Amino acid sequence: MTTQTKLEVSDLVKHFGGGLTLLRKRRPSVQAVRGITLKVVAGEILGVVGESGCGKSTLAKMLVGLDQPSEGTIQLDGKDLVGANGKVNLKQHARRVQYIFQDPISSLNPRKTIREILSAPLIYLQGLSAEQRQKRLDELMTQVNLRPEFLERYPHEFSGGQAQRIGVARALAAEAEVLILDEPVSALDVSVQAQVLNLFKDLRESLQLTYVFISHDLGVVRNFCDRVAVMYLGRVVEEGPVEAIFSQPRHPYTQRLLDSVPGQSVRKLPAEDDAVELPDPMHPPAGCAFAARCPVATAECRQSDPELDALATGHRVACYHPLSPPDATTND
Amino acid sequence: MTIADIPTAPIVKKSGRAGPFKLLMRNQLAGFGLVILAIILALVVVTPWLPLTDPDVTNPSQRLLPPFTPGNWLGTDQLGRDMLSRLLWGTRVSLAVGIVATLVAATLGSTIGLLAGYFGGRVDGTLMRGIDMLMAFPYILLALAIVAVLGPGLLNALYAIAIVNIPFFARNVRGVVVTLRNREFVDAARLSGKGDALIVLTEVLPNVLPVIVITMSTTVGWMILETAGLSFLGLGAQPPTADLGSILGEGRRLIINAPHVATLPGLVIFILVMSINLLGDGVRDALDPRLKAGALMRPAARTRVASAAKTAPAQAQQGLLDVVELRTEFHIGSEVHRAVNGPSFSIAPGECLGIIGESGSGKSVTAMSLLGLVASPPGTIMDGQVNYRDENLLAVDDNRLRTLRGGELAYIFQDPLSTLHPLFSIGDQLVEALRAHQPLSYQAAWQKAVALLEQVRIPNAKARAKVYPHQLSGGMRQRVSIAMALANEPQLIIADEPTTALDVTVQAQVLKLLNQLRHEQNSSLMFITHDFGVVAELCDRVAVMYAGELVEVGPVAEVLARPVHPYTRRLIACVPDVNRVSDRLTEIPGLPPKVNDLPVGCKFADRCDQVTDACRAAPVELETLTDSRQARCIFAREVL
Repeated sequence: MTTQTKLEVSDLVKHFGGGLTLLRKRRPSVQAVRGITLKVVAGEILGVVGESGCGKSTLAKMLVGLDQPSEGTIQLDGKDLVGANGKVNLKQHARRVQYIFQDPISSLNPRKTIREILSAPLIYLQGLSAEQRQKRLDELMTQVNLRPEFLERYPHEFSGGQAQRIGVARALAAEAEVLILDEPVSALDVSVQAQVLNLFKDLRESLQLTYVFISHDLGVVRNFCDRVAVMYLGRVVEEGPVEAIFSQPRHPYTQRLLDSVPGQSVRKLPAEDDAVELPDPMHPPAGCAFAARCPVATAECRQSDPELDALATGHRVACYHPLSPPDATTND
Repeated sequence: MTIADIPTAPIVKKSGRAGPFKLLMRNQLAGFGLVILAIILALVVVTPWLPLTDPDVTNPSQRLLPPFTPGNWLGTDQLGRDMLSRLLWGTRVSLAVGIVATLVAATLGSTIGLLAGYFGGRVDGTLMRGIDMLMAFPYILLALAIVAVLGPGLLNALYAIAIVNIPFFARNVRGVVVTLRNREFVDAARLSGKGDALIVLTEVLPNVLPVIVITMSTTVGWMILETAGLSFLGLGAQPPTADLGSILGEGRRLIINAPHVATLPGLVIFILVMSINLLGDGVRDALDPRLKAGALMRPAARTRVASAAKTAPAQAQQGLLDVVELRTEFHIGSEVHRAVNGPSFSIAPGECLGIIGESGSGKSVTAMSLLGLVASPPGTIMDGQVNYRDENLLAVDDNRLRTLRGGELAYIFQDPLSTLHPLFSIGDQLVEALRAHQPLSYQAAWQKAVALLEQVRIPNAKARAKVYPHQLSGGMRQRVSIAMALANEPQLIIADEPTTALDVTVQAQVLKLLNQLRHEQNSSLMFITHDFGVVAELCDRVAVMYAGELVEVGPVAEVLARPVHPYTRRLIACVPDVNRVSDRLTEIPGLPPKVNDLPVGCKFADRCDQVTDACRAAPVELETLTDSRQARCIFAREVL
């Protein structure tokens, strides 16, 4: 595997709302992403985990160019996504970075056949002739393990897993190198989820794809990703190789997530106090956003937000009091 | 992976649901309207070839003949013109103007609605404020003003009517487009390289067409009426051309001497507009997706129970709740969907039974059938028993069922946001739940509601009781649902995926709470989920459902450690383990069978790796293997 950086995100910020009303009052604004710096290496699967409202889908939308960052930059192969005119050239970008949607059925227009849906990127992005298109369509359907005669059907005739394969075929039709997978299996049943995840793995091998995999399912992330970034309230709180994150989590929030997986036999943190609530994204706290829920928080944590600092090679954590690695605790 | 392991999707059969035309014809009034309208249309189409006198030829010697005069069956008017001929030609004009005006209004209004809805922001603001200004004038004043500017005449009246009706289309279409714009397929089209114009025309417009058709069908009648109104005032059709409105207007002066000259066109307008409106309402009902889902059918207060299930002799009670051979079916059109195919299970006092299955396995329908909560139509409980403390719940009367629901037997649903009423404070909703079952004063009930909120560990319960559901987070809302279920000291709580919509850390809190409460109250719990982890966390026993049947039942630890049924085994293997990495995830090839087309033998046979001919030949029974374990597989004994 090369270590060439494919996607690089620096100090990315996105807020929604804001500005002034007609009466010159401030509109409330939500900070969905509050300063993210990340690298995606060519050929790897970077997992992004976090709970609802942590900004992971906003991040995904920005990576693919559907949303524009308020601040910060996104670079693809060292080239800034936002052009000189201050806008993303979506048509150009879509040839390189594609998106897989969470809800496979609703990402397909109910009034179009699969052929029409899959032809769109071939026509508008690749500019293929009718003859070339037919050949490519057959090829795509084979790649995602669907029968070519399905091309003439409408989306409602498919199950969730099949519909998601069509979504994958559409992304492949653009011949993108990077796929942003936004919870691509969370709407699917477990037995079907494995089919789709294995398909993703096979395609990565055969087409040398790079994935950013957004998910809230830790089991899937552990078994699917190479590296993981854990997000909490719009920031990355911990990032590192998947093994390091799962076997030696350093941020208390990561440990809390792992402890919360139902059916876990060993839990490291004391059970969470009843009814602690997530911080309000309209008014993010001054210090570490997790401080209110954190078992090791101190006054320092509530005053200033820790930076994402490197611990070991490739493992970064944003915490003033990172948990000790397991061997250290046993030695004490 | 090869083509061979492509999931074999059966060719999808045409749905048993009735098509739009069938739905339309089911509505008798709409059918009546259609027939009348068809007759009128046929008549006006052939009018030029009918042996009628010219409608504009005057004959003063024959003026004001009464109806039923030979040669002039509907009489003549003040200039001796044949009324029948004038009415037919007039209807032609009125219909043509009404339809053309509708088309013009639909085209302009829909374009405005599409642009405003799709682009939003400034475009939306500018266009819709223009529409608001149009709507701010009384329509007839506006039409009069337009005609005053353009001058009287049929064509100008048409423009006036069309302009007046633009807002209806613009607003309806905009409303739909605003929701469509945020749908994922629009983003997907953008990523497929389509520009805005293409997206509006090829992605959005096809999805808006039904709305445009519905609005057209309900406005044509109105437009004809408005055209008649303008003509009646002398601003529309100019003599000698006549439409129904101008004939009526001319006849008005003779209403005493020759009432037929005014009443006949009035009657035709009435019949025409009524038939169009009846048909239009029918079209709306048939096409509107909200009504299509059966909202017009108004489900009964409880699920219909076939008489076989009501009269079956009760079996001896074993647990707190015994379910015996429960069968629930959905009859949709000509098809029968067998959602629940005879599961039998029993829940002991204080026990937690987990029901696990994938979507479509019938687990929720089973839970809803227990207290008759499945919508009827289309649902029917065909057979079986639900015995609760020596009482068959399928046979009890409505009053008894109402007492049990939310009382001794309580439900918690998946999405608390849709089960809590948005307009009442959570305290008031708890009070209502309490007072429906207990003779409490409002004050006393409120005290108790606060106590319940404290019991489910809602911080600052006294103040929180006054807030509305949208002011709470998802986890807090689910706690309120749990409080509501606990309100009347339930013996059994039926929880249908109560933590599926919650984040994992919140889910952990809610599961912990449920477990504590269950032990505090010593109530039984029937917990429906698709997550083995949750079952392991909370339940004593687990029942695995597949295609409406129980395929395996047993104590949780035993089933998880040594699953007997191939489905259970493979389902457990499918779940990616957070504690372990495996290079390749196990998958179950294929899809579950369709419940409207179930195989005779083992329902899992098509996806099973150890299937034999015997599996497919005959139904496989749920076999009791040990005291506590049952499985529905012919190899079960060999495995255990």
